[in-house]
Amino acid sequence: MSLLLSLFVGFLFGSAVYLLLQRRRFDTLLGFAILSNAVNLAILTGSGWSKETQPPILNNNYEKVKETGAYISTVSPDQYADPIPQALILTAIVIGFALISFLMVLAAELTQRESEEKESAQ
Amino acid sequence: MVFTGIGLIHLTWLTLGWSKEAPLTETLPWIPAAGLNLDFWLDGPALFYTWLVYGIGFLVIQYAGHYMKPDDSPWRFYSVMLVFLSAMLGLVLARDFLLMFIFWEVTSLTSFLLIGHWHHLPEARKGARRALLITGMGGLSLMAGIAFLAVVMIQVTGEFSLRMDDVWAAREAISEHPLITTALVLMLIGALTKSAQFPFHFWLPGAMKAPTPVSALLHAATMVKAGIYLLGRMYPAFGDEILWLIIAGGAGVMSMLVGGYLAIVSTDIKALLAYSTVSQLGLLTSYYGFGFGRLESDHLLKLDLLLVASHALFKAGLFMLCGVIDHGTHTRDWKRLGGLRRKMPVTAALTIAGCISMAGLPFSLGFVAKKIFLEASAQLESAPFILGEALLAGSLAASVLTVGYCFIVAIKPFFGKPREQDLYDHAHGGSFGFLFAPGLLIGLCILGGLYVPALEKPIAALTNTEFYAYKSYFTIAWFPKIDWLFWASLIMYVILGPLILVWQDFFDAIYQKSGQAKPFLGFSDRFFDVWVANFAAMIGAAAKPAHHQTTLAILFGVMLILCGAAIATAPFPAISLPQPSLDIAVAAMLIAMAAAGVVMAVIKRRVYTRIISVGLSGLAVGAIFVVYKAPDLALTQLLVELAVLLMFLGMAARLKTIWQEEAAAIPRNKFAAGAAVALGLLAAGVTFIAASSEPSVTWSSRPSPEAYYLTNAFYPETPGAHSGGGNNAVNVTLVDFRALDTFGEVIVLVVAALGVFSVLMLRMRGRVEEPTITIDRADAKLFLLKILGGVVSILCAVYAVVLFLAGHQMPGGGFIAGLLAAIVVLPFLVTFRPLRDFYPHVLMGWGILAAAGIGIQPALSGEEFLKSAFGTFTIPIYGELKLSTALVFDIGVFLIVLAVTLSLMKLFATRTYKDAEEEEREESAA
Repeated sequence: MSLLLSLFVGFLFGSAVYLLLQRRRFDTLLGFAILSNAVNLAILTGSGWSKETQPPILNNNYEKVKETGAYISTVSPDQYADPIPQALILTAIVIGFALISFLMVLAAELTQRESEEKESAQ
Repeated sequence: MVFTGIGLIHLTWLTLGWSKEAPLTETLPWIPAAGLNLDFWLDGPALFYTWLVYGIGFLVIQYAGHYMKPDDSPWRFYSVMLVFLSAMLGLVLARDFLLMFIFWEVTSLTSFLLIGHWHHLPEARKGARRALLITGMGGLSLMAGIAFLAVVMIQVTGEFSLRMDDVWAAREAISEHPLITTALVLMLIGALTKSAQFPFHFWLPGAMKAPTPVSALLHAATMVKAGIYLLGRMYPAFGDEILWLIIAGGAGVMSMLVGGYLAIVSTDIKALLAYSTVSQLGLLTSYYGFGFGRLESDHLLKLDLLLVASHALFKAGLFMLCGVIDHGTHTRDWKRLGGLRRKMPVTAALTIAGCISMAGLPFSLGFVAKKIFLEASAQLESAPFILGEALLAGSLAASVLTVGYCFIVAIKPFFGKPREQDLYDHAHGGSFGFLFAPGLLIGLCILGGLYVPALEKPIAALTNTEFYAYKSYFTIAWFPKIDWLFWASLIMYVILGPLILVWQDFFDAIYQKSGQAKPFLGFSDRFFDVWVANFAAMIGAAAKPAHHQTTLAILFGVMLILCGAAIATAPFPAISLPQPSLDIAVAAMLIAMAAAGVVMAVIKRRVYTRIISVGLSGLAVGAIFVVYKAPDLALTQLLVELAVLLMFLGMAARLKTIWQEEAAAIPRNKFAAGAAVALGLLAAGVTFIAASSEPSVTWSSRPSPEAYYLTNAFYPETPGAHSGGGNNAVNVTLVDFRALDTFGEVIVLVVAALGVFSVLMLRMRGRVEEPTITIDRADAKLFLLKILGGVVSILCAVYAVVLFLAGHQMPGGGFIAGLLAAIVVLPFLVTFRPLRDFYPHVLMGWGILAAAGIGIQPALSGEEFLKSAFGTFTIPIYGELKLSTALVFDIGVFLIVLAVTLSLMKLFATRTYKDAEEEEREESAA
């Protein structure tokens, strides 16, 4: 799985680089959108995958230890997917969204202004 | 006003209980590992300056109530003003040089904001920029000086401490160290820039474009005194260095001369007062300089507080009176005023009293101050060569200039014939409230002068701490000893001062003749308008190539080299082909789908095709997240992709022709393909190595963070310990364990949204508002769609609420619910007339307030910031409900995400919509 995903991340990343290096504004925007997906996937892939793990939703799998009053998870933490990269990526997705909106506005603004200048020059 | 009033009351209480033997101290750990603490103390000088900050702050804010008009954005003004006051308070209460530096910088920044308060005036912006540049530069210098001092302290005493008393105690040892002069010079530069001392004096007059309360508070009474305060804090450690005398004494005397001269030739009363501040601060600076070599002996230097107090009182008062004159006559040019004593008698009387104090005439605090100063400068016997004599001569000459400009301010606007009848006729005095603050300040100044002996005790009490030893070197009395100094003063006041008043024209003529090369000012103009601008342009040109692709290519190149080298040397993990399974098959299918989308996006030409292809690949990535056991991520990704898709489409509706032309006109970059292959391989390699490697850190003593988060997400593993109370470990991590990170991230969102908004505001400026449109006509055709849309919207809205509430236990939460709600609400916001002018920005504020507010509550009770608590409630029908304070934090996140997403999407949707309408209208017109 990791191999498959790694190759896919490489593919996404390469495509993003290709678009970003074009001297066209619209291509840059698309490239950026793909790039943020590539990076998020790369982090998730880095956290590893195994067939047996469950999503990090605990479903009340707890047991109270009578002697100490402590709660012990009945499922070992190894049985869940790592929540940290997921939390990181979740915010990264939303921030990536804010960033691309900012880029879009800038690009739209520049494009519009240039075309208006061209019109007024004619 | 209420804040400062409470502060004053508290301060009075503190003062009553204050004793010099045991100053109040307060230490809060900040970065204990690095030896950094928030060390505050309230010793004598700190107490004095606290009074200064609070007292004058209170009066200035009272005065500002009369000065600021409702359309001057008073809320912004008062908030920044209060931030400034707090920073100033921190500055004088800091026990540690480093901590003081931090507050120092905050005062510089708030000063910048306050000078530029009327930011529609180019002059105000220019003045603010200059002030920030100079004081910012000085701040850097101060920081470097403190760093050198820290090095010296570590090498000499063996431990890291920048506490003032530690530095003073180590005075003898550190004075031997070779680096100490560097530290001294750098710190002195910091002090001189802050106090607008020669050669950095030119920012202060520019700062006078600020509203007058700001000038009175920052640039007369408090902030510029921070430099003087720093000198006072440095003196016990550095007072024996010869450089101390040369720099502080020299710069001070030069500032007195230059400031005095420029004040005489200024016709704007406020500028005149600004230059007089330069000159008076020069007096304070040189006074410290004159303390050179007297550390061991008891001496008069300790009377600095009296000097500072007298200057703060009369200068703040005079500035306020200048504001009154400005309000009453709408000019500050004394060449246009005259005879105003009949129109504004109280103002005139107060101004004259203030000037008496400023000139140092008898019966005022200024007189005592001037006397102390001149005696100090006359007793520079330990100075080498003729330095002492030169400085004394300079001080005397500067005093003459001082008398001269004081006479100008006191006499020119108020006596003689009105110079412009029109202005005179319309002049009016200030109300009682307007004149209250300046009256009180100047009254105190005169009262202090009349009862000088009464001041001796409090001053002795304040300064009689270990390092501020005070001895009655001479008695403070308002009647001077008859010695040569007495005669010198007499000549100054009675003959030379009035002569300057008469000969002002002569000085003016010289000044005007010097034309562009105005002495002491021409340089600063050239410095800012030419050098700084050129330098900025140069940096800009170097950092900004013609196309962003160049920058990107450099970045990618560096990345390729560095990461490539790291990969080449790292052992590559063994590649094992995966066992065929259902998961793999699903993943492969999704990958194929996403890859197809990306390929389409790269090779296709039509704008819409490419947008939808990218959207498709994004949705497929969301599905991959499911395979990767990240349901929260999948939901977020799907919603974000949807939002991005909507925005892309909205934008394309407007710009697709331009972009298609662009694609046709600009050929593809051939070099990019090679770069793409290389970087793609690199990224694949890095990811694969990362995924295959075991963590190099072994968690022998404590569990790994993810294991901790998982085992403590719902119940604490050890009884009584902290836990999140949620089954969804990702959500608990976000809103509880790592809530501070999340808080920072949502702030980033807000900043981005505001950035987008301001770019669009730039566009809107100066444009005719697009006509509001009626939508009923257009929507009639889409009746069925509308109904369907409404049903779906309501379902989605309900689902958003469910997602939000379930978030702590099941996939969902503030981020996801916020995104979904935004997508649902958007159409209403665009089409529903009453909501069309609603800007969601206000929701952002509420969100931040909710998130920060719930976070501060545990911090106040001594817990960590943002630490959560939860309780279990039983609700009929629903059953047991666990409510955590993290839920409120999540509400904050929800509101912010909703508002940000809405405001971003609305901008695109609204404008497209209007543009389409316009097109339609144009068509029908044609």
